[in-house]
Amino acid sequence: MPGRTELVQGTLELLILKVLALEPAHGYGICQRLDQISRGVFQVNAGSMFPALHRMETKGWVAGEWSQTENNRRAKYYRLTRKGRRRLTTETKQWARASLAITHVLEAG
Amino acid sequence: MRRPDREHDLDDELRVFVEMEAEARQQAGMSREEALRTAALKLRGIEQSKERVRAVWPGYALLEFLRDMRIAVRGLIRRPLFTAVIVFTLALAFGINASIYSLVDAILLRSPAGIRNPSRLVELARGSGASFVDLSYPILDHMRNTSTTLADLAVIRSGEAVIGEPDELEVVATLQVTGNYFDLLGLTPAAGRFPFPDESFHPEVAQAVVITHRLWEDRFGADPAIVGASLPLGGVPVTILGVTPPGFRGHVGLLGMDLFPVLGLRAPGLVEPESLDNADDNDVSAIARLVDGASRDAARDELTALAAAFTEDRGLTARPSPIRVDRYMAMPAGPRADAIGPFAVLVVVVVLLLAIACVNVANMLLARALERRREIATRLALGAGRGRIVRQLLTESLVLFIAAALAGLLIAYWSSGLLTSLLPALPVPLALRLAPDMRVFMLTLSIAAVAAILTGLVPALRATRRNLIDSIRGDSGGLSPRRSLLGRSLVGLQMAATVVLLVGSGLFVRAAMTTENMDLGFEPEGVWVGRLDLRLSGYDAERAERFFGNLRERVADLGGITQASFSHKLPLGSSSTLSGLRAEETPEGQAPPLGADFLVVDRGWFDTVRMPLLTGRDFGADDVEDAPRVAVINETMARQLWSGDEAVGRRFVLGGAVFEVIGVAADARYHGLEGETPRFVYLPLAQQYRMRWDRMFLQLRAESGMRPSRAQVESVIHSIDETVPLLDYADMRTALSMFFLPLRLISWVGGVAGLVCLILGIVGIYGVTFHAVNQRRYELGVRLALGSPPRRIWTHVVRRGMSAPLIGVALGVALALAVTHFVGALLVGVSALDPWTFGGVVVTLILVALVANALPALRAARVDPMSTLRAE
Repeated sequence: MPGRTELVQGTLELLILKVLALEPAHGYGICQRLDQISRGVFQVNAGSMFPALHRMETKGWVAGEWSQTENNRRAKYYRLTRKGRRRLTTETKQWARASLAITHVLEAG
Repeated sequence: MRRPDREHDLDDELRVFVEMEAEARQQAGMSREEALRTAALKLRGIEQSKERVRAVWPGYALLEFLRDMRIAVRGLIRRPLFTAVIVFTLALAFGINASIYSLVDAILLRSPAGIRNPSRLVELARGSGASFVDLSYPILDHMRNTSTTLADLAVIRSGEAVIGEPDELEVVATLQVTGNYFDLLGLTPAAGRFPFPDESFHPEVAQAVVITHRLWEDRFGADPAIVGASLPLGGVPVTILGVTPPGFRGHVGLLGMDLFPVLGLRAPGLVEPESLDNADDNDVSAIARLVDGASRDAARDELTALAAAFTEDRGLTARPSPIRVDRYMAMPAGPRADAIGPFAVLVVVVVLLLAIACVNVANMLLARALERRREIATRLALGAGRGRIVRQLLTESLVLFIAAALAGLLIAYWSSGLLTSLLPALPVPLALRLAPDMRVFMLTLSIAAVAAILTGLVPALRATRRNLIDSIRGDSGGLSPRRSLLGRSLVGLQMAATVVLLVGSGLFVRAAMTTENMDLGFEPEGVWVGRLDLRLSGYDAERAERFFGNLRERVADLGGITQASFSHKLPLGSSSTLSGLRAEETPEGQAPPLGADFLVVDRGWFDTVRMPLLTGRDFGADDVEDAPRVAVINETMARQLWSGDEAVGRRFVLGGAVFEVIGVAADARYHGLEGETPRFVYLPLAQQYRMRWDRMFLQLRAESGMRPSRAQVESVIHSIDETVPLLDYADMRTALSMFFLPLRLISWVGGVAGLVCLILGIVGIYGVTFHAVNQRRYELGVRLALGSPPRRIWTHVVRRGMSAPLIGVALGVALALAVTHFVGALLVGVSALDPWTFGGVVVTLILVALVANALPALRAARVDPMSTLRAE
């Protein structure tokens, strides 16, 4: 699919944190949200999203809970913990710094 | 969360995802089936996705490993024969390996328990290369005071002493030390105290000793009151200052020291304090601790410079020579240099054996993995990852290897007594523990783990190759040639390595046999040897002369003794060297000065050891101190000095004295089994008491079949003086066995390893041919049905089966030709390219390969065509 980009390793976690900062969501929901927000630029690979979610759960950035969906299904909802929120703040700052630097380098040419 | 819940949740989570995704797609117009498939694809496989998620669960890897272990153990138990053959062959290899590691560790490496940071300790001596010369006390003291690379330095000198009252004498190995020795090693006393670092030569401790925990327990019943008590040392009372920690018997691993007199102590058998003051007397050595950060090279450079400056300042006669700084190990640097070669050969032999066993097992694992190919392919098709299955197969190989290593360690533990019995009675007390210890245990298990992975990897990768369709169909026809190619290569490799090992062991067995039957120039059989050291009992030359005179007479009265005599060393052992040799008629300075080795012997010695006198006579009762100096010389010296003329009656100068030749003895082996024959002079004890009177070897020739016992000889000695101990007593072969030991040990270990290798070879070849026949049963059945005579089938199978072993043997011979010269120096009396050994090994292996092929081939020829065809 032209115009779509594979996510850089590590970035996926940052994006998931961002999505969950708005409201808790289940796996499918996170996928949808990422698609929408990035306007289809990122191809979210569900095969690596679940391992990422579980890794973040182990690290304590997100917490999973089972509850009902609007369609009356039981699904595992992930929400951001306080630790995850702090993480999001620092990661966002770092990202901004790095992308600014890269932009500078590219424009300097 | 417990594991099943976690699994259950993961299952639900992914299922919900797939359903939601599929619903969305159905609404976009896809059929339900297609929607579900696309959703699963988005996860890149549901099972694979689960695997990836599990991989990030904490502790999951361990759980999975344990589960794989359980599966592996269950699988292996279901195939008892397969498992038993692998574990048994590997256990033999691991057992031999662990035994040799223990031997090397005990003799060469393991430093006694309790020494703090032994890796920073060094041994000091003079010399370089293969030369190790003692140093003098003043120069070492100077080094200790001025060196910036040494944190501390303790002067040491080993010896022997007699302790106790006359009725309970005990000979112990001693290590005389400066007061800082124990502090330097970092030891804490078990009782009493150690001398303070600067107490050497101090009057208060000058007559004090430290005893070992062993001596404390065995002789004094671990009585705490012994501290401060008096102990007779060679008849001189000394004070017991303290007791070493348990297990410590000096820093030298092999020699069990029991008594540590402080340097400066004056007692029979110990170095005299006056001699220590003399910077020209090189009779001590040292152990030192490097300053943190200082290297051995830096210490060597600094100490060599210090020693040179010291020698010049003092105007000493000794030529300056480099100081050597050797790493401290259980075996002192001097003997270590000689021992490393034989030990290296032993280690190479057993590692090679282990490698051969691994190749053999790799082949069996390959056969097993390919039998399970259908099962494996099915699991791959159901979505199991290849890595997952490889891990599982490797776990199985790990279980096999660890089980075998444990069994091998048990074998090594049980057989350590056997190994000890291979070692002869040696002229020094040994503190040898050959059972594997914790270090050997860990090393063996680590090697097993690495070997398990290396061995299991090829079969595991081979069995999990993704040609699913073929495998599920069970289409073995397409795969078997490649399987058998890999299997055959492994057999060839195994044969090649076996040739190298067998040729190497064969050469050592031949060399050992040659040396045991070697003509030494004398006959050790029937001679009994006792070692005496009169200095330990406080003798001087005059008393010694009386003692030996008495002993010579009384020992002859012992029943069954035909001859008795003394010499100051044993032939074949070491001899002493004198320089300044020339024939009397050759004016001094005309020819370059020669040296000669000499041995001081009592009259009757040549008869006692049956060393033939070619011309002239033996020493007699008239060759005494006041009579003209006489000597017996060897053939080589007679030839070199008087070029074939009659030597008897001629005179020569040696070490400043003039001697008349009264006899010429046949050449013999004087030091070791190899090397050129030196000029050799025998001097009569009766004329040499002033030079050599303290240490003598009593030699008795017994009538055939008689074995004069230690107690008999001891009672004769004690009837003259009960304070004189009989230090070592053995038949002469045993007394000389040190010289045969390296070859004997290598040939024994090599022989056992060789046998195991042959068995492995049979198992390997048999296995491959057996499987080849099994897989071709259908084809062979057809051939038989079409009228092929069974004999032809038999030759066909054998011929096919022989190709890999033959190529392997040829390769092995080439390899062996290339490598045997590395051990040439250790082989006595046998060429490294000995055609008999090479020929014997090749013939043996070809025969073994034929037999191992013939049995399965027979089975092939007996295939019943109807039953095989029906089976398909």
